[in-house]
Amino acid sequence: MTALASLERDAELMVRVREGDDTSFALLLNRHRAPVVHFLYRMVQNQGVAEELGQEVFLRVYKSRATYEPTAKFTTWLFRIATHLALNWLRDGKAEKASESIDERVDEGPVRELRDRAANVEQRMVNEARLGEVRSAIEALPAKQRAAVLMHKYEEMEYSQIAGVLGCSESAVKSLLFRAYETLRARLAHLA
Amino acid sequence: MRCPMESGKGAEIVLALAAGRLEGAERQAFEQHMAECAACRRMAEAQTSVWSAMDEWAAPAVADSFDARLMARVATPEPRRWWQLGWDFGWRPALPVGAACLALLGVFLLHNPWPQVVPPVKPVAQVQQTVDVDQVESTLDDLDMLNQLDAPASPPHDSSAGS
Amino acid sequence: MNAIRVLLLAALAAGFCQIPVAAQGPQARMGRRWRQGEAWSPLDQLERLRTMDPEQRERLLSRLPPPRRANIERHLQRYMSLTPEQRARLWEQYEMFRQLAPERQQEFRRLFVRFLNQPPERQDVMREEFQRLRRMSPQQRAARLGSNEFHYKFQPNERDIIERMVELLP
Repeated sequence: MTALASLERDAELMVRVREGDDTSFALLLNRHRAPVVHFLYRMVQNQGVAEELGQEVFLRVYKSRATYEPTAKFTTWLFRIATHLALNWLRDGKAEKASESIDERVDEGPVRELRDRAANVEQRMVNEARLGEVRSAIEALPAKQRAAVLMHKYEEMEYSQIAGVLGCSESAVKSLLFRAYETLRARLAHLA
Repeated sequence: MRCPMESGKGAEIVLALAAGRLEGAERQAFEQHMAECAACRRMAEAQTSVWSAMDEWAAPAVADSFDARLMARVATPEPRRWWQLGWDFGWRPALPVGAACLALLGVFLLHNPWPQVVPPVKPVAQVQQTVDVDQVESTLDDLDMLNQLDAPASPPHDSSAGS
Repeated sequence: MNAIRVLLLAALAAGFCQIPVAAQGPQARMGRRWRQGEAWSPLDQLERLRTMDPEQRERLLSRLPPPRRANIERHLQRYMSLTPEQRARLWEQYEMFRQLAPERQQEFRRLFVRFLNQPPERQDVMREEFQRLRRMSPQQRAARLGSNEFHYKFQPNERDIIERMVELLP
């Protein structure tokens, strides 16, 4: 399905949800569940919280189905809710939030001998260290810059759509992104 | 090609290149320019490095129970606010009658405390059913390490047995 | 009189507003605390995995690449074969380890890697020495580490590993 067809399909499905078709809601959920939760995970760096916020996103979509109008892209609306919830959580829960541990690692191969295990532990430590640096660097970005970077990098959104999500101009988004990436380049240069 | 840094377009072009979104003639022109411009080349290399590093950060899979938990929340009716109850009976803007009712209710409440109603809150165990497998793996590795260091000494090695 | 009536109404209205707040017992407060991101501890997670329904555990682990899954299952099997007393002791050790700053934890893991790179028979001797040193008082430990016996019993590399490990996890 082309991107444009997918977008039209999203709006069409949501209109059906507005008309009472819960199966269409399930289809939308299936399509957008992972991207939304993954975005939230990278924003708040806690999987449990990301899933809780992700549910809140879809709950709000469902509850506002009666007044849905396909004026903006469905994903813009979806990520606008997600970003709003994430920014609120970061603002409110800063003192108590806990970051999770490192994520998916390189496939290490079978662990047989002690020497292999030592090498695997070392490799994992190196990978962990790299990932830790990436996560810390992203966590250190101001919340809006972080949201813009995550949408740009992982959701592959265009500047115009990110602007729609953040409620600002395209030039403001470019400014956010360029500053964010400049910070990341400076901080992660040694990983090259 | 004029240096994009001078025209203020440098960052945008480098981002597009690192993201794989710079194509065709524009890409070719910039690649030719980078062969001569150290500043652009350095920036592009640094941005590509950041992009690759960010590629390594995979998000965990969403829990299987996500949809079920969401549907449970969808199905739970919202608690009605106290001021919404009045709409069922129509609104009578009669201040003296309303004040008298409130006063009577106030007296009643003073002698009969409101029963504690705890709203149905999901138990934490149900809310967070995901087990972070990576965390668990790391914990098991650490436990294994500590266990090995704490283990009693193994029987003497027989060098004739071979490894 | 009108002012008194208004004040009375306001006071009663304020009292009404407190009722739903007061009705939120400990469970709701716990829910709010969880929303602010209090994560499960690593041992809680591990225990959850250990006590999970086997089918559910199977589903969880089946998403992993086979080598990682095999590694986790092997370690988990070893962990599950411990007696409750052994597990409790291990938890104590682990909690002490977790008290270390992350960089010191990493250093300890690196030292363990170096330890694993020693021949098995030397590992046994080093392990025994590490355990003995941990049972000593700080003064006894310092005396032992400075003794000729310790100096001649272990190679420089081995001494370095033992000294550093017992410094991090006394």
